Amino acid sequence: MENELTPPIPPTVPPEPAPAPMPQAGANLPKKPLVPMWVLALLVVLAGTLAVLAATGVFSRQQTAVETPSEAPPTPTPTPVRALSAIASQSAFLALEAQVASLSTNIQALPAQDPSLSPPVLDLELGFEE
Amino acid sequence: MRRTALALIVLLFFSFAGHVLATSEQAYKDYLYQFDLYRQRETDFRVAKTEYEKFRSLTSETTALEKTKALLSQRDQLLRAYLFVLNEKLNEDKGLTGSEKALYQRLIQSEIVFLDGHILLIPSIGSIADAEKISDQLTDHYDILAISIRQTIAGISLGQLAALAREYDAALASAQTIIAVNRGVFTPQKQATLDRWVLSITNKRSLYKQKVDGINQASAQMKGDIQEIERTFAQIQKDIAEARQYLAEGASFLGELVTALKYQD
Repeated sequence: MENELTPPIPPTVPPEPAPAPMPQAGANLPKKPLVPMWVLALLVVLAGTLAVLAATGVFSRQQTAVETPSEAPPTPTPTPVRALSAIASQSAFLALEAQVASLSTNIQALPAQDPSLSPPVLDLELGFEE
Repeated sequence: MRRTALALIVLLFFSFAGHVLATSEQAYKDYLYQFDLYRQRETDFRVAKTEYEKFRSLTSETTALEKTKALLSQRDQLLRAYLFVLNEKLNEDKGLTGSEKALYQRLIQSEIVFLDGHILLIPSIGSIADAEKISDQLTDHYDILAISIRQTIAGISLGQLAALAREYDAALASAQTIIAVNRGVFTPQKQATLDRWVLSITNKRSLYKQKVDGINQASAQMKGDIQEIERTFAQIQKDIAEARQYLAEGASFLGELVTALKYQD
């Protein structure tokens, strides 16, 4: 029994892939287009330009259509007429009016600070070195 | 004959008035002239002092001493000229009472006396050390001089405001009389509005008075070194501007009241 050896299991070897077929000369090159590339590019640019011009042309027609209505001139608002009081013609009132006008003028004429009152700023130290 | 005499009187009056108005202006021109002289003397002094400290020769010392004496003398003249400007401004002031004016003029007179005495000491200066000593006398007194000057400036400004406040009071009294005499002219609603406006105008006047009382108190209590004096004075100037603003606002309210009285509605 001990001498009976089980035969080795042969390793499983995956089959080799089939070799790729050799490319034939000129087999994968694209065919020559009917229209050249530069012509196609030119056509795309022309189409885009025409589209932009058309769009602006449409909008400008719409804008000019909006701006055409004429505006009516504004109606002036009438200034309300205020009736003078019985006081307005009294001499005391006229004197008061003059007093208040004079007071306002005098207050405005008073400067915030009178420059002629600013005291001189002096450096008092002689500062001789010992 | 009578016409000629009258014309002469009118001519004399206006020439006299012109003389009074021009006095503070003339004093201010003299002060500016003294200030120009002071700047020249100070420049000369600085140059002479630098040379003396550099060379320490007898010649440079003599020159420095001459320039120092000239500077000290001019400094006193400058301060004196400035005090004279303040005095003339006080003379022209129409808002201060007689006693207030006399108080400030006494302050100025006291400082002029000090400066006159100080100027007399300068010719006797014989050395740099003497010059330092004499100069220190002004330095030691300068805080008191600065306080007197700033109190007087505050007084002059308050006097100008007081003259305006009197005009304000007269206008307000006239307005109150007109409203009281013409009570039936306006509708009750408008009358109530006018009464409220008068109250607002009176309130502005009260605020002005409170501000002026505060200024007088701060001015009377001004003390300390020159920095503290300057700080107090800056606050006083700010308060004077606020007091003026109260009068301006009240005057504006008076204008509105006058307009309201002028029209029925």
